[in-house]
Amino acid sequence: MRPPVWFLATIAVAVGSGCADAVPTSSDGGRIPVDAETIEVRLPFSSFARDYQILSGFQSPAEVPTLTIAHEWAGELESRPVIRFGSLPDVVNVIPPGSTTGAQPDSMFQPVSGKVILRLDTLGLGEQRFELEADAILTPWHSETVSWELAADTLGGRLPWPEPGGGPVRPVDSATWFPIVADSVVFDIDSLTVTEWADADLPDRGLRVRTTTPGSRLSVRRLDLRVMVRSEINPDTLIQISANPGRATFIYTPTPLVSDTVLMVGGAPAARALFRIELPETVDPGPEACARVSCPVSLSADRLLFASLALRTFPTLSPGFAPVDSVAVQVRPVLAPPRLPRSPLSAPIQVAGPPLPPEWFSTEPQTPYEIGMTNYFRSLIQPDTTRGPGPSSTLAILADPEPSGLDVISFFGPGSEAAPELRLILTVTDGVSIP
Amino acid sequence: MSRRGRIGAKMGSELVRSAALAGAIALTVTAYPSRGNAQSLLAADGLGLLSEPLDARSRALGGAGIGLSGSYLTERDPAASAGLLLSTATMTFQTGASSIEGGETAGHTRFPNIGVSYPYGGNVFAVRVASFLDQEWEAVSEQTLDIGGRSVNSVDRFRSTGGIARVTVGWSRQIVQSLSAGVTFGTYAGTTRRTFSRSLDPETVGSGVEAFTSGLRLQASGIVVGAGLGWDPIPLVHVAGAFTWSDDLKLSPSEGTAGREGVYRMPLELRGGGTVTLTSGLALHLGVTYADWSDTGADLAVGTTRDSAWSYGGGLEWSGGTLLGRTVPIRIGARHRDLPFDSNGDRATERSLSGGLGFDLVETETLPLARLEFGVERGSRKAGPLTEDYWRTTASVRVAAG
Repeated sequence: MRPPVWFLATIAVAVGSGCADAVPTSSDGGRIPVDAETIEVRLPFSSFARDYQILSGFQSPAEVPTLTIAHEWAGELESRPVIRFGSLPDVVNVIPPGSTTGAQPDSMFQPVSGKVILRLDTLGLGEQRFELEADAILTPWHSETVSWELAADTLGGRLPWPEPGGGPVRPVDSATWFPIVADSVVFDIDSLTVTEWADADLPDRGLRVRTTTPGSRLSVRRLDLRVMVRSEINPDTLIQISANPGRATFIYTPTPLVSDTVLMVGGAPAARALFRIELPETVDPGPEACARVSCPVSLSADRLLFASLALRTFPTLSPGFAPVDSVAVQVRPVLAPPRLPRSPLSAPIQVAGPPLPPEWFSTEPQTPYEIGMTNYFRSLIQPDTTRGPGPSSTLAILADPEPSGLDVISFFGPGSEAAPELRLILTVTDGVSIP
Repeated sequence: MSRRGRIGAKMGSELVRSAALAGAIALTVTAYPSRGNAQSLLAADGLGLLSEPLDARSRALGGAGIGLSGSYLTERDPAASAGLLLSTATMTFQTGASSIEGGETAGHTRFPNIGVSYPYGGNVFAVRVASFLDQEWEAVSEQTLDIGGRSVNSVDRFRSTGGIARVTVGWSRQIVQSLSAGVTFGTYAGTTRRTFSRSLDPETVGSGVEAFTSGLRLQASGIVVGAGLGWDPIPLVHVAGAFTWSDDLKLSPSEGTAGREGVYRMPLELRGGGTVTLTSGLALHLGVTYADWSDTGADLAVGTTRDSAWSYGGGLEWSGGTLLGRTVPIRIGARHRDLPFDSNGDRATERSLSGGLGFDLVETETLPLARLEFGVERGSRKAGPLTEDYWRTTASVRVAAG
């Protein structure tokens, strides 16, 4: 016998409305039968970290989304973009003279002239003027490994530039750029140079851009090569086409300085700080906290409320590489420490915070910066074996994204006056008791 | 199908419809006006708030669940089931809301009394689940901590959930026409979870701060034995007495949780009650219980108990009213109860006024086959400065079939 529908509906309504749960709650803390003490412990770097090292060479400038042009920036930095344009389109569509049937493909067109258009970042430049030069590269070079000194640095060998910095070159054009007037600079390119740059079989083809204005640093957001071509099937017609995307990078000097007592990350190729976590089983929170809890305090995952790597900013050793924009950092476990520096990294473990402002690494050094990693340390102390092995105890601190540019950020490193610390907040109780 | 068979089928169908109607009415009435079971902050004291497994009729009459007229199925009166000639199932559904002075209104839902009986050869065998201790409460404390020289806002929260019940099997029998007896045997059952958490303000600590949590899950066990007698010395008077003896109540940490076992001596509970028929259709009911909780108090880690805890009350039942051809008893009552566990050293008491109705939805000439009882209470609890006012609604459904 089935119960009537209305009965079931009534039960549903009654249960839904009547079974709302609300536990009687007291705001009297004296009713809480648990005596809990929360303390802070700061572990010096030497007591929780091993195998500290700075490794450089990750990624390449070719992967930086913007190109840097610099001359005597901060008295030292020289940076020049080098660009290899892609080939021109194979055909253009042209309407033959007297044709009434529409356009026809023309693969025999001839370049007549070209323009390189640089779109630059004008932010913070004001009423300055910048002298810019476009030059044709005359030496074969490799876009992935090119540097200030070397045109190529591959397994096949190292090929130095005849003149460091991408030379020698053939001057193509020069321009004066006023940031308050326009956000772009246009270089006129002759037909010979355009024809060379469009030839994919020439390993020495390419454009080098530099500025001759001392103390300048510019960022190129976009770069295009537009070519005027003359049609063979209709010689009276000039057509503007764009070169296919090519490879762009930049070469710079000097190399950022490093120090054993400075923790530095960033740059291109990028530097990473690496170390292995080795937590002690017990910690000593100091006499004040020990007056409230039994010391030493056993370090367990359930007691850990907060864990962060406490850093203090340090002025970038090479001023030319001091950040000019905000920089974010991330901490990622190293999945295969024995394979460093080629080990893959795990996902970032810290809670994403705001990026670090550039002044922290120039005019406002010693600014505290903490990277919260509570869940990582909880997992490290007490791995959740149901989810597989615990996290790697080797960590890498790196720029986010990597590489983001030439900017190098630095912190006081191990052995320095403000070395990194591990800040732990622990709650100690005797547990929940029976009534 | 024979005529007898058709009558039986018709009767069965009516019984199902009536049981469904009774259940629906009970659920609707108890669910609508309030949320919860008159929960109390006093559940924080000692082993919790004593949660008596009374049905709606006992609640309405202010009684102790013993000595009511007729036959019924409760753990409080083991002999009262001796007269159940048909297999019977009963369930009590209870909701309520407590307004704590200076605090919020809290409520919950309970099934304090569930029973099934089966008569065989003049004996009645029964299985009962009866509420015993309510341990639902929470305390929240906001404070500022000095952590590493910084002032950090924190919230401490302690929450106790669950409760303890008694699961018993029983036997009862009419010894002679005017005397019946019953015994019960069972165990404590139920789980209590006690959880403490501390949350720190991420604005002052740092992003990614996690809450500290620590918990304990306790499983109740222990033997419970009860016995009772019901006697009609004269046709207009019914009296009953019963006791419940209990071995130690053990609260053992469940597997996977740390902590030590709690062992608490439980008092011998004595109950008595009776009903006097004053006039045709009007009856007076009185009930009283007594227990000495001093030994239990000595076993508590925190808190104290009163030595003698009394509970007494009574009410009137008028059975002259009818509705749609059915008898509809109307009840009023009042009750006083000493709560065994002190609140911060203060004695705790509970007083209530109550009323209620009953509906015999299906009945033969001599037996109700489906019955709905409804009771509502307005009461207050006091313990020193703590005052709670509560509404509690109770509905009981009883269905019998042979």
